[in-house]
Order: sequence, then C-alpha cells, then structure tokens
Amino acid sequence: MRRPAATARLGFVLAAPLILVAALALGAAIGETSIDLDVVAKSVANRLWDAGYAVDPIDEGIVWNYRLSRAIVACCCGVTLALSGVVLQALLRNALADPYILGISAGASTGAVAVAILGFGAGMLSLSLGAFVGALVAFGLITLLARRAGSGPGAIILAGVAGSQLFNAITSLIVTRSANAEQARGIMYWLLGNLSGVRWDDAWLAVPAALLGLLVCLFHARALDAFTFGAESAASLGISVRRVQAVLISVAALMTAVMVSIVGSIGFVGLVIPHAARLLVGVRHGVLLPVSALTGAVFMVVADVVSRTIIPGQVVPIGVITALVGAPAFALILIRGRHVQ
Amino acid sequence: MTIQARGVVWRAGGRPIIDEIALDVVEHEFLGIVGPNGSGKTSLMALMSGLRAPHAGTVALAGRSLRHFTRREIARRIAFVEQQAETAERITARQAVELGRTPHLSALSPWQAKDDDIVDTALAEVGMASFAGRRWHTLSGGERQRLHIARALAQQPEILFLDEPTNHLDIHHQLGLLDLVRSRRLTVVAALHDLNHAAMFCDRIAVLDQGRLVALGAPRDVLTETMLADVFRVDAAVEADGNGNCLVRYARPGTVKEKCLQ
Ligand SMILES: Nc1ncnc2c1ncn2[C@@H]1O[C@H](COP(=O)(O)OP(=O)(O)OP(=O)(O)O)[C@@H](O)[C@H]1O
Ligand SMILES: [Mg+2]
Repeated sequence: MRRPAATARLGFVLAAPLILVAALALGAAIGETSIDLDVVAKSVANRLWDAGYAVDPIDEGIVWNYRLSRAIVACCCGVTLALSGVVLQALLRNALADPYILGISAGASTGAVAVAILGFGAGMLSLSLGAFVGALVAFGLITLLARRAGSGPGAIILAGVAGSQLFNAITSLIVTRSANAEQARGIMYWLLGNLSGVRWDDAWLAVPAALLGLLVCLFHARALDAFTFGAESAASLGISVRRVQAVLISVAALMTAVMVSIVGSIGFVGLVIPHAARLLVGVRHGVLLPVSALTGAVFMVVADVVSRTIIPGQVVPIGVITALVGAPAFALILIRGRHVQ
Repeated sequence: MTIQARGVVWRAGGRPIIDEIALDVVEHEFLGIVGPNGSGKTSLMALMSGLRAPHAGTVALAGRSLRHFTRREIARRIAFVEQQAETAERITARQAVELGRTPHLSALSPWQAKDDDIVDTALAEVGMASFAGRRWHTLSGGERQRLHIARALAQQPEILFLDEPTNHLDIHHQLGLLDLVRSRRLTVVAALHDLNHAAMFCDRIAVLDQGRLVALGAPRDVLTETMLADVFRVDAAVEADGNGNCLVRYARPGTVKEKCLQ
C-alpha cells in the first residue's frame, strides 16, 4: 500500500470547504419554514458584502441571526468532538474512549454550572474556563481511578462511567441547591445538549477553538501514529510521551469544555465519527484527523436539522438525536471488538 | 557508537530490580543478555536505551549522558524491539514498518520516496515483502515479530536492542533473524533465552541474576557448567565444538545430581 497520492490529498483539501459550505447552506435552508438556497446565498451575501439583493428581511434575519450561526456552531461542535475522540482513542488505545463516555463532558458541565450558578465570574469565556477546569479535573480523577482499578481496556471506561455519575450528581446538587425552578429547568435542558439560543457570540468562541484544536492535532498526527503499539513503543520511536499526552489531552479537554459551555454535553459523536472515518480512510492520523473533523461537522449539522424538524413545532435537544444514532453504533463497536479479540 | 552504564540502579515495588550494574557495550558487537525470568533483562535494556530513567547511576551514549539527548535524538540512534507489543488498530503490515521512520520525520516534513525505499528494504530483509498489505490482526505471532524487527531496521539505528526477538519464530527464522542483525554493521544488544543461540551469535554474553550482573565475557568463558547450575538451576554439559563455539547440552532435571534444585 503506497501512501495516498498527492492528488488525492489535494482533492480533499479542495473538496472539504465545498462540503462544509454545502452543509452550512442546507443547515440554513431547512427548518420549520424552509428557505430557498438562493435566498440563503443572497442573505449571506447581503450581510457579508452589502450585496444589496432584494430578500425578505424576515428570511434574511432567520438565515443570518439564527440558522447560520447555529449551523456554524454545530460544525465546530462536530469537529471538536470528533477530534477529541480520535485523540483519546489513540492515546488511551481504547476504541471506546470519547469525551462523553470518559466523563470529561460531565466534568466540564459541572465546571460550567459551578461558574454559572455559584457565580465565579461571568460571561461565556469564564463559563468555558470553568468547564475547562472541570474537564481536566474529571480526566485526572478518572485516570487515577482507572489506574487503581487495574489494567485492561475496561478499567478506564468503568472509571469514566463512575466519574460521569459523580459529576452529574454534583451538577444536580449545585443546581438544586442554588438555582430557582426556572434556572434549573434551563440548565437541565442545556445539559442534554442543545443548540437553541446559539448566536454569533458563541460562534466566535467555537470557531477559534475548533481551528486551534484541528491545528494542534494535525501537528501531532505522526506522534499519534507512533502510539499504535503503546506508549513505550512511541517513546522508542522518539516521541516525548509525557509532553504529547499532556498537550493533546489538554487540547481535547479544552475543545470539549468550550463546546460544553456553549451547547451542553453531546454524547457519542466523539465515539462514532472516528470509527466511521477509520472505515472510510484507515488509521493513519494524517488522513484520519481531517476526515473525522469533516465527517463530524457534517454529521452535527444534519443532526441539528433533524432535531429541529423531526417533531413539528418542537425542538428536540440535539444530544437526544446523537444518542439515538450513537448508542446503537456504540453497541456495534462493542460487538465487533469482541470478534477482534 | 558505544553505550556505557555506570552504577545503574532501578527500583520498583520497594526493591532494586537493577542493582548497581556497570556495563559497556562496544561498537559493532553483538552483546547477548541472558538470565532467568524476572532477572532484569528487559529492565536493563529499557534503562540502557533511555526508555526508563535510572534511579541512580548514569547511562552514556557515545560518552554523553542520555539525559542530555532528546527522545528523538535517541530514537535516531537506538531502536528497541519490545518483548511484546500489540495493537487492536486495523493497520497493515507495511504501515507498522513505516512507523520506524517516525524519528526521521518532523510534523511538517513530508514522507518521501526515500522513506518508501527504506521501508521496502526492511520488509524484504525480514522476508515480509509479500505481506505488506495484510492487516495486523490477520498475521501470525512470528510474522508480527518479524515486522517489529523490520520497523526497527527502518529506523536506521546504530544500536539495536532486541528483547527476546526470536520467541515466536520457527527455527529457520530464529537463525535467519539473528544472522540478519549480526550481518548488519550494527551494535546489537539482545536478551536471549536460548543459550545455544547466544553462544552461536554473540560476541559477548552478560548474565543477569536478580538484578545483578554476575558474568560478562565471551560465550565459552561465560557459559560454564557452574554458572548454569548457579544461575539457571539446570544441570548441563558444555562442550566445545570445532569452531571455537560452545554447545550447551541440558540434562533432564533430577537425573544427574540433586544439589542444584534446592
Ligand atoms: N513496574 C514494575 N513494578 C514492579 N516490579 C517490576 C516492574 N517492572 C519490572 N518489575 C519486576 O522486575 C523484575 C525484572 O523484570 P524484567 O521484565 O526486567 O525481567 P526479565 O529478565 O526481562 O524477565 P523475562 O525473562 O520474564 O522477560 C521482575 O521480577 C518484575 O516483576
Ligand atoms: Mg523480559
């Protein structure tokens, strides 16, 4: 097997933005009131370049203020979750690793809720910071627990389950103690993973987080490959194991934290998308990372559209949709894993 | 390139696993490390290749302490084939060997035709060229072992550490592999269980027992009946063959004398 020809790589580099734009356009067009694609294009042109097309201002408002920002955040969310999944699966050498299952999302939620309700600071950035701290604490606690619980691929997953429960309980505790009924309802809804209420402010936080994460991960693609046979083998191939682990786990936690603080914790995307991407393009991280990112982005935009349209007049939390798709996929991976052993 | 270990100590579980070992590896020699299970062969090799840091003492590569090298600098000079390294990833045989190029490539430097050639050569040298496209999980233990060796060769090291490199191989491939690494202008440090292989291929043999270096020298000086009885707790006769090598012939436990089996 030769490596993919330069043309294939060029093809991907050219096709990826087109696919992304198409996904965003569909995300903006489809909804309770469907808006024609040319109206979407004109609205965006009006806002970006003052193009001056004649478009119904209500349609333009829906496209620009609600759907486009929302679709962009959904994309970023897909990118970051998929990348976090790839990174965690490679570093922990565990096919079931993902920020949700390992309790990192739950820790981030606790951090964000603590900031929001107990009021350490204010605003989106401090919410993300709280989530970041929560994510790191959760990961630290879970790896410690897993180490105590013994070796084997199951240990960290079980520790993740325990950690998730713990952090969710702490979150509930904070919410019931300190929030009023309406706040509590809002927070519980947000915790399920929800893109309602996402605006441009959120996109300005989500896009840099996703881009930064993508760059850092791509920069470490070869290092991630080197973990194929474990950390000791990676070290003998010249990888500074501790540094790479610290950088990549922090980046995964950061990406997860930013997304949790914007849309709540969304399950299974980080698990399922990397596996789907591996089936498509194989295990080499130089290819796997960008393809996972793109697949995740498209998947999340589609999931968001489904969540807005599946029940007329209602918005289902997107976390419910991803879980409906992801949980069976999780089961499939479990079963396949048994056959490999 | 030489490696010197000086007073190296490594502790685990509250006891010294490697206990004050001093050992010089000479350029282009084939040094065998033998010893019973748990005597510290793997640990010593991990310390001498910089994979673990000693708790006391120093390991120097070409006269400079390993602590002053970056991981990548070490990996360009030293390759290490682990006793057991497995993966559940669906990689191909060739991709496993390609990993050997890692220390020579940076995040931004692209893979080149030269790297492909090196990987092809390494695959051919271990007789695995026709397996290049096979998935890892479909390969036999011996085939995987040969790919690990190929990966180390693709690393183009000056020093090669092999931890029980022949334990999954049939006799033809055992001899072929030891001969292959011997024929390269490499410094080789190999943990071996088969003392006759050690006698056949090693320039020198180091004997470990409970974390201590108890003998070091040419095979015929080291492989003596007393050493075999003391360290390995076996009765054996050591014969000289025509080529100045020696041959170990084991006796069935209990058939000769009882004193070694306490
Ligand atoms: N991390 C560790 N913690 C505790 N004990 C350890 C650790 N690593 C190694 N040991 C112990 O150190 C001793 C030497 O181990 P090592 O793997 O170096 O032996 P070895 O000579 O390679 O044995 P084998 O022939 O079985 O491969 C063993 O008794 C092992 O149990
Ligand atoms: Mg060993």
